[in-house]
Formats: sequence, structure tokens, C-alpha cells
Amino acid sequence: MIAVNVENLHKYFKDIKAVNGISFKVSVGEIFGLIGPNGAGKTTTLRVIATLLKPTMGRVEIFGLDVVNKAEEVRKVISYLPEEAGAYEQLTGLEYLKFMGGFIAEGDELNEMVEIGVSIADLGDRIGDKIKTYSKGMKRRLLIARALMSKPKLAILDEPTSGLDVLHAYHVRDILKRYAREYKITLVVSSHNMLEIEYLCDRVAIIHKGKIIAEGNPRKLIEEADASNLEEVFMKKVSAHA
Amino acid sequence: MPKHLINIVKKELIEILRDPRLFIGMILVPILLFPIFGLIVHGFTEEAGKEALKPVDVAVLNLDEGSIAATVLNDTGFKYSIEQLNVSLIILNELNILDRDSAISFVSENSSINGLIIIPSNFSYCVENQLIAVVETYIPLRKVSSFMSTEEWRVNDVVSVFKEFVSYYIIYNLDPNANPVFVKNPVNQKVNTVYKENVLENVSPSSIIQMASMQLFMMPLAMMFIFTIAIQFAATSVSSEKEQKTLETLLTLPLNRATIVIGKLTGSILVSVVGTIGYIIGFQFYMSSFTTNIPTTQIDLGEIGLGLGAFEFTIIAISLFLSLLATLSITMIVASFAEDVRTAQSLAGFIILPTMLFVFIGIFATITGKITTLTTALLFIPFANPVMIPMYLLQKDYITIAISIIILAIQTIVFIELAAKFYASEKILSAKISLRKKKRKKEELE
Repeated sequence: MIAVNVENLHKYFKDIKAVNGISFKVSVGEIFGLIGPNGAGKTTTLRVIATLLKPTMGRVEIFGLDVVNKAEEVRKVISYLPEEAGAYEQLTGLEYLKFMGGFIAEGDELNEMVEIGVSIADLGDRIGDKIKTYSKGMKRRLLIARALMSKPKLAILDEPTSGLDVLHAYHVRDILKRYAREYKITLVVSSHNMLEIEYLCDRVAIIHKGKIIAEGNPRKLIEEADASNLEEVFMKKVSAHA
Repeated sequence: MPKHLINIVKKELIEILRDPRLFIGMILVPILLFPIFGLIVHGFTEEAGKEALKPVDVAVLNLDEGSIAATVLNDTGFKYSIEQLNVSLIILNELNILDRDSAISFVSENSSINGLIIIPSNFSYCVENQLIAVVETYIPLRKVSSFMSTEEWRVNDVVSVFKEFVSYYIIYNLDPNANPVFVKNPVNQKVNTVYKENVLENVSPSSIIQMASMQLFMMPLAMMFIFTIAIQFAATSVSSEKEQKTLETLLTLPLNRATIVIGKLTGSILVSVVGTIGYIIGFQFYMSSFTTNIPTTQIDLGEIGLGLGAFEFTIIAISLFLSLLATLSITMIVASFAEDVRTAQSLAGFIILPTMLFVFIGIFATITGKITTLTTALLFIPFANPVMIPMYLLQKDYITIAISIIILAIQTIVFIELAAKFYASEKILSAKISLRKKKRKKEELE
């Protein structure tokens, strides 16, 4: 079954073509990665999938639901984590999870959801502290916990480890891989970090100047390009389309 | 050291001067807004000035049993001086009006007559015996304008000229060696006010007007305070979502965009309602200082129908509440163009500024106390409605008030709808002030 179906997607901002006719499909339960240089169109693509932006041309469906006509229904099955997401600084971590979960569930279901969130965030006693006292890594873990605790059918994560140190990034990747499999969540992830994508994703698409220039299983792409890692594949593909 | 200092100052100046908000706030506003404000204020004050000079009638009832008052009133010099004041005297005796009550009724019923001067029966006796005579004046209070009663001024001018000519009469016809203190001031004036067929003795219209107009003057200032707080709160509420990077997440939650707008508006409204309640309680305490008896004059504005009671305050509260809703909806749209709280606060200034402008225009509009096309136009502007409403309430023009409240309610619904639509579009994410970008693009095209 297809979780995400992107067909000939174009997104223009006045005269800037941010996304210029890309198509890809993501199967249910799959972890799909979007990689590309800055300004390639990754975030714009994710924002369209997350119903924040409307396509200029083309079609995007989430579990068969059109992101334009059925936006409100799409929002019930997705969870989006923007690259530079923040949280309400005056709330405690626990209050934040309860507040965000309150839009999705109530009663026992909400309590169970928050418990999962607390477990994913793994902040110990600090979950009761105000978010403004958290380090960047702690905030990111809380936000990822928020994105996954509702066990969404599709989680859209833009640069999930952006700005984190090696230790925190490792922890976040571990959380993503473990909980995505455990809760059977389809993941669409964008990242600059090739190691991360290689570790996390079943399939990747390399985006350059708003177009997909390569797509497939990371290992297969490495083999086909006769490269030693995904970073080398990326460099070869981008250089070829420069 | 000076070199480093110069470098820092240079950088600071470049940053400040290149900020488009500075261009709007420090150049555009003073150049455009204040001259407009000046023109409008000039219009109102000019009208008030013209009113103070227009030809008027003043009635005189001469009850003097002697001949001195009649002699002075018929004196050529006196008549010439009165003409110079642009005043025509109507001698009521010539119209067969010969008693105080009939004279007061006549003046009350004739809106063209500014006031009544009654010369007492013992006038000649007093003057001849170097006793100070008391001349009574009755001034109808027909409108409540701010700070002044032009009618009272005009009548007082006539009394002053009359006193002056009585002094001349004493010197030329009675006793050139009379007591100079008496000669200088042979007549005292007792000022009375006629309001809605009631005579308020020993109370000048100006003192009543000053108290009543304080209501019209202080209320807009208090309203401006509430508007300023509510606008800043609404602006911050939107921009903090952008600054804290929580807006995108919020917009992808399974909830209607209108719910987000109404939720945010409700937060601001609750604060505003608390502010409004505080304002009403505080203002009623403030008003009690005007509506309770004042020892010297024994005036109760509430009793004579010039105070604002529970009904009037309810109307003002409704107007203020609707006006706040409309203003905050506009603020939410404008603040969406800010990427951080600081910019939002600056943008909020552009909402606060016209609000203040309309408040001041409202204050000046009440100077003449007249309902004009301009004051009615102001009534239909959301910012200005609660400022103008008290004046219309004092004038008891309930039809205009009702129409303006209905129109304000419609305007409020439209503004809320616009805000909801804006939040439902992707502009909420991309909207930002880009004066510099446009300028750069223009330069590139050139």
C-alpha cells in the first residue's frame, strides 16, 4: 500500500521554482529519505506533504487523501517536525506533551499517549521543568517525542538531528529507528547528513535544483555509482547535474 | 580607541537607517500623519473660533424703577460698543415681557438668543447711593461642548460693557469724586444657568460644561490605554509563535485554522474584557467625583441629565468590546508579517498610532459639541466609535448610536473573517515586510 504519492509536484514562489516536477512514492512502513544541498527543495516538498503549502502544479496524496482537498483529514494521520521547530518555553515538557496530545486524543488515550511521549523523550525528572531551561538536544528529543507519541501513520521529519552534537544526534536516530519500527510509522525524513540517511532509510531520493536526480536503496545507489558511501554518490550525482 | 568607537557607531547607524521600520516610523509618519492630524484639529478649532465671533442676540429685561439703566442702555457709545461685539440686544420690555419667569421662558424657547440679562428694580437706587447693584444673567445650556460656553462669553462681554458705561455715567452725571473702588466696579454679576426648563442658580454653564466635558476628555484617554495593551498582547501572541518556531507545528495539527484564530483572539479578548471591566469600575469611581454634590455649586450632573449612568456605560462597553475585536483582528493580520516579537511590537505601533490619532481627533471633535458630518463619519470608524459614542449619548441621539453599533458589529465580523482566511492561507508562513527586498529588486532591474 502507498503511504505517500507525489506526482509531478511543482511549487513556485513568484519567479522562484523551489520544486520543479518531482515524483516519488513511499510505501507503508517504509523510511524514505530526501537528501540534497541547501535550496534543493527538500523542505518545500515536506511542507507540501504536511499540508502547509499548496502545490503550484501536480498532486500529492497521503494514504489516498489529497493534501489540498482533504487537508484536514490528512492532518489527522500525519505528524510534522519542522527543521527549526520550537516549543512553548513557559510550559514544562510534560505540559507540552499534554497540550499537543490534547488535539489528538483525550482521557485514558491521552494519558497513554503522554506516557509514550515521556518514554521517547527520556528526559527523566527534567520532564517537569520548564522548556526554556532545556538544552538544544533535550528540546529536540521532546519534539521528536511529540511527533511520534501519537503513533501517526506518517511522520514527516525535516532535518531531525539538525544542530545536534554527535551524542544527541545518535540518540535521536536511535529513537527514530526504534519507534518507527515498533509503532509501524511511515517516515519521510530530510537530512544533510548522509550517514544518518544511510543508517535510517530504506530508500532515498537525491533532490537538486527542485528535481530528483537519483532514487533507490542507499546500498544499491552506492553500488551503482561505484562509490564507497552515500556522500560520494551524492557528490557525483550533484556534480553531474551542476 | 576612537577608531573602534567610530566603527561601532558606523555599524549601528547603518543598521538603524537600513531598517524599513525606521523609514515608516520616523519619516513617513511625521510627514504624512501629523499634517493630516493638524489639518483636522485646525478644522475643529477654526469652527469653534468662528462660533465665538458670529453675530448673536442677547435679551435684556430692565426692571429698574429708576432711569439710570435705561439711560445707559440707550447711550450711543454703549450701543456702538455692543455692535462692535457683534451682539444685538433685544430689550424684552419693548416686547411686553416684564417679569423674570416670562423672560427666562422666552429666552429658553428662542435658540437664537444666547442669554438673558436682568437689571434689578433697585438698580438706580443702588448706583445713586454707591451700593453695588447685582445684575443677574441666565444662560441657556443648549449643548455640551468641551471646556467652554461661547454663549456665556458673549453675555459676559455685554455685562462688562454695561458695567463700563455705568462707571462713565457715575463720573459724568452723578459724582466725579465718587469712591474709585465703587466707580470701577459698580455692578456685580450673578450667573445662572437654564438647562431644560430648570434654573440652576449661581452656577455658570462653563462650570457644568467643564465637568461634563471631563467625561468626554478622560474617557478616550482611558480607552487608548486599553487599546494599547490589547493590541500589543495580540501582536505578541502571533509573533511569539513564529519566534518560538511553534507556528508550523500548530498549523499541521488536526484542527481548523479558524479555531486557531478564534483561540488566539479569545485569549486577547479575555485580557481586554478584564481590562474593560477594570476600566468601567475605575471610571465609575472617577465619575463619582463629578456626579456627587460639589460643595460650592451643588451640581449633580446625573440629576440634571448630563452624567453617564449604567445604560450609557453599557453602550460604551459594547462599543469598546466590538471595537477591540475588530482592532485585534486587524492586529493579528498585521502582526503575521513579523517574524519575531520585536518586529511585531513595531508593527503594532502602526495600529496603535491611528488608534491614538482617532482618539485625539475624537477629543477635538467634541470641542464644538456639535454633531457634524465629520463626527458622524468618525462614529463609523472602528477605532473611533467608542470615543465618539459618549458625545452622542450626552446628546441622546440614540438612533445614530444604534446604527453605528450595528455597523461596527458587521465590521468586526468582517475583520474576524479576514483574519481567519489569512490564517487558512499559506501566506501566514511567508508573509513578512520586505521593503528592502523590493528596493533591491528595483535596483537590479535598473
